[in-house]
Amino acid sequence: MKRSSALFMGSVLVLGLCASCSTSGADTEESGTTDGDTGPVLPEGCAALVEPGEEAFTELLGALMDAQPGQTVCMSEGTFNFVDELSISGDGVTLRGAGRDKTILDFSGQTVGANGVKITGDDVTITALTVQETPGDGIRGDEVKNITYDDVAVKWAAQGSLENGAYGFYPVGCDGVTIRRSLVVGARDAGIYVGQSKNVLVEDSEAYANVAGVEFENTTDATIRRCHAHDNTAGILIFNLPGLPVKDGKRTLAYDNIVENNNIPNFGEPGTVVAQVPPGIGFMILAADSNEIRDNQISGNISTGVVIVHYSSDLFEAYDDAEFDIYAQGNYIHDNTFSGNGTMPADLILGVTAGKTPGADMLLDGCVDPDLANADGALSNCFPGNGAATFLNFDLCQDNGGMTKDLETVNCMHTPLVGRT
Amino acid sequence: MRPGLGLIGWGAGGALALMLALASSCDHDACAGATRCVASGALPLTKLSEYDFFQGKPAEMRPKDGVVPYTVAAPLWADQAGKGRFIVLPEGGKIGFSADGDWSFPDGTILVKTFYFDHDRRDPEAGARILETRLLVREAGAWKGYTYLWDEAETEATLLKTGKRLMVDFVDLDGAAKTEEYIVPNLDQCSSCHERDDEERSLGLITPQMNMLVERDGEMVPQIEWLAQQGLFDGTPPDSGSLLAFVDPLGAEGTLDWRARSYLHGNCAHCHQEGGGAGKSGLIFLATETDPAKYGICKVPAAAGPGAGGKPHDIVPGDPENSIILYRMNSLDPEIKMPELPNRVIDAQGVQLIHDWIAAMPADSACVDP
Repeated sequence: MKRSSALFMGSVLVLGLCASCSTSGADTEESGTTDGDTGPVLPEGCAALVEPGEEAFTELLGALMDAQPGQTVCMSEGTFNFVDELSISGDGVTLRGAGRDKTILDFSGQTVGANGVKITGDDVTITALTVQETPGDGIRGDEVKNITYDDVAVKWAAQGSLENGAYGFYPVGCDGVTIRRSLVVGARDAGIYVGQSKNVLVEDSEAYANVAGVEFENTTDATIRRCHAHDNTAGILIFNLPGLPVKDGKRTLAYDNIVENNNIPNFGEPGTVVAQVPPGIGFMILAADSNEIRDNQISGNISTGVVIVHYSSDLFEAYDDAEFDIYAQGNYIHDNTFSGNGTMPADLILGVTAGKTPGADMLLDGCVDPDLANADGALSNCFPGNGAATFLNFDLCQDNGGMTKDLETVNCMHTPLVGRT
Repeated sequence: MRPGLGLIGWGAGGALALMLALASSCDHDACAGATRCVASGALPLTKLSEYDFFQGKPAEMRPKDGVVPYTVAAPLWADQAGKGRFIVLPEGGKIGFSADGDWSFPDGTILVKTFYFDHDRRDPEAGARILETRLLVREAGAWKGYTYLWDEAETEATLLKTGKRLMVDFVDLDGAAKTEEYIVPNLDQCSSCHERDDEERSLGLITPQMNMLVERDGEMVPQIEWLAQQGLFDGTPPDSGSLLAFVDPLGAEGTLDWRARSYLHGNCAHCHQEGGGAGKSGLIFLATETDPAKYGICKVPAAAGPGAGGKPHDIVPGDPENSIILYRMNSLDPEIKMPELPNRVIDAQGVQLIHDWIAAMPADSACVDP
């Protein structure tokens, strides 16, 4: 029964594709190629077309292995039920679905592989499809150059479930990451995660119902713009963590984003760093330097809109990494629009801010590296031009002794970042 | 006259017993000697038999001359499949020895590894089902991996790029009939273990894995010296006693610490080292790593997500239950399990070893939660 319905779906799609080819008229001869005597006419630009069915995984993997640089492997409309991790190892290969809402890779039954899709080739693009219900991570990019996620979704339907996978988009150790027009829903760690990477652009994308909507971890020169992070535990995290080979991420630029109502309970795995993040956070900078957050709309995050903290051993796990710089310095938070943040801070925020309630739009822990001189102000965290936003330096490193709400103490500037476009 | 190698029967413990026999059946072989002719035709060949590695019934894996058996001290767990391993050098080719790095191999070298399941784990003499044979082929200065799937009659194995799941019947140690899923990896999955710094590597052919005693001609002899006697090396390797040696993780030799470190090297270090698939975790399982924080002691997990299991550190000395590595080794959940690929069966003895190793460590106050 299952098999025949898959075949039925396949044949319907062949008809649909043929119809669309015939409408493209004169292009057919150049771009369309027949796949043997009986195969479907290939859509324009496709080196191979894979349709749902019992052998779809093997066919798709084989087509991806055979693809030459510059070639595109296409997947037709329909739901593909995969039990194995799909891998893309060739350089310059594109995997293209028939549309984000039309081509669904469903990994509910997956038994092998830590990711739904694992990309190990350079210059790979994945586009126009959805990956859903992976037991582990969604789409991993593993130490590659120039990986692109374009018009891709990763979803887990259950809300706040411990069964959901950890990361949606999961590029690690990459040089050149582009994520655009994409969506992640339901990750129990970070939806859009970029780790130990550089030269990153995330734009026009959306993340909700994740613990962290977006996380840049030990990542340098990332730009995030025109994104919508809402209804996560925390919206956008810029973190440096100890014990990783790539250290000292810096210079993330965030602008023209809407970061709102990130108030859902934290359902992260206890023991992970994001599980320590209290609900109600818009932006959070942890132990990262020289980041710029400007021209964003930050609203309705009940703990705070923006918080900058060092890697406090009171808040985070102990570690052993002599090279790790725990301080967050030289960050530049300016010209954002804030409203309705800090209205009901989570207990952890109340704990570190001496119970100040309501809280503030912008929080700074005020901890500075005692071993570094800051005569030129390069290490200062600056918060100018944020309209009527409220501010609190809670002076964590001196037991709240020098707490201040005075914005004049942080009215400074840094050289703006250029970012990637 | 150099003896040829013949394979006689299935040895105790499920391992292939390799014994020396005179190579009377190879006399007509033009390529006989310590090396074999490079297989003709563009690689990979479609059928395993075309490589001409074995004589007699193919599944018995009786190597022809120049197909040289080897074994390793701390093998990678493969769902309790047995493995038969061989080195095939091209004519005149030699191995460049290294005490602490990868050995170098000439173009045309083929490493052969066949995976099999004993029919009856109580009685290795009852034979085995041959599942797949994997080749690492050295071409243009780089290794490339291929997998050959045996047909059910075990007469021929055919190149398979996209992997396969097999159901394998066997009788377990309690005499119960069992069926287990066995996964033949696809070629991308080969790379997930063998690739480091964008290059495929051989994993077992390193000095500490090879520096062990093997049975040859009825005697236990140091393997590296035996291989040298077969003329495989370019030059003479140093005395075995001066070289690092792993131990059988489940054997009686070696300290608990060294057995555990040998196990972790053999099962984890192909990814968990710089440039490996898990290099970005910062967790290094090379047996030669001396910084305890790097091999997991009190190390905070990186991006482990639910793999952390709510536990604070990769290894909490004296506290196996709170150590992430044990939690991950003891899981088959694809999100949690380690190694990632592609086991379907937990290595219970390996788990016990690592449990005992961590339990024996003195508690470390630096590791206690703040």
